[in-house]
Amino acid sequence: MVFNERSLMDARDPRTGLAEVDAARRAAAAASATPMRTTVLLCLILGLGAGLMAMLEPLGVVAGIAMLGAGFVLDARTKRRRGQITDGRAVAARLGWYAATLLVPMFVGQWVIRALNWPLRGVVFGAVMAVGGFVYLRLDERYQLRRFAEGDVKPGDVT
Amino acid sequence: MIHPTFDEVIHQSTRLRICAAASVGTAVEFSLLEESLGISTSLLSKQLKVLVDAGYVSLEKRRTVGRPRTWVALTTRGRRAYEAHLAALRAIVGDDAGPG
Repeated sequence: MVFNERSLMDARDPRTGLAEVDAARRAAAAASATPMRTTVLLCLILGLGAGLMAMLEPLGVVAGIAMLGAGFVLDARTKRRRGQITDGRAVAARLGWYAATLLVPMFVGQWVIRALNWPLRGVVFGAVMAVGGFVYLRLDERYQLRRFAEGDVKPGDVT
Repeated sequence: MIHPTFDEVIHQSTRLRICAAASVGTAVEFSLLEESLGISTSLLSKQLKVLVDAGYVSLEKRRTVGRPRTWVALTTRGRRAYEAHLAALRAIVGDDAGPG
C-alpha cells in the first residue's frame, strides 16, 4: 500500500470514507433508475410498433419501424446513466430473462397467432411484446441497479 | 489485481462521493450527481474541475434530442485510482474482501 505522512495525518476515518462511498453509490443508482411510467410508455410504443409490423403490410412495417424509432428517442432522452454491466453473470442473467419474457412467449404465441386474423394478430403480437418487454426491462434494470448500488462491479465490467 | 493506493485528490469527501456516484456506469448526467449527492452546482463544478485537472474525470456536453446535457465520466486512470483508493481504505479497516 502507498501512503505518505500527510495523507495519514489528514485522512478522515476510513470507515467514514467507505460509508460515504456506499451511500453515494446507492443514491446515484436510485437516482438513475428509469421511472415506471417511462418504461410503461416505452413498452406501449414498442408493442404498438411490433403489432404494426406483424401486419406484414408495407405501411404497417414502415409505421412499426417509426414507432421503434420513437421508442429509441424516448429512451435516449430519459436516460441519466450510460453503461451496463456486461460481465459473464450479467450476460447470463439477461439471456435467461430474454428467453423467458420474449423468446418463449413469441415462440408459443406463434401457434395462437397463426389461428388469428388481422387485426387481432397484430394486437396479440403487440401485447405479447409490450408485456414481455416490460418485464424484461424491469428485471434487467433492477439487477443492474442492485449491482451498481452494492459496488458489485469490477473495473472493465461496465461498457 | 488492484494495488491499494491512498489518493489524496480522491479522498476529499465530496470528490470521493463524486467518484463513487460516477462509478455507477460509464457516464452519469451532471444533474444526477447534484441530485443524488445533494450538493450545489457551484460546489460540484469546483470539485469536478479538480478531478478533471488530475485526469480522473472527463466532461462531455452533448445535445441528446433536444436539451443539451453534461455527462460526467471517470477516465480509465480515474477509475483505477478510485478503485485503488477504495482498496486502500478497506485495507486500513481490515476489510480487504469488500465490494468494489
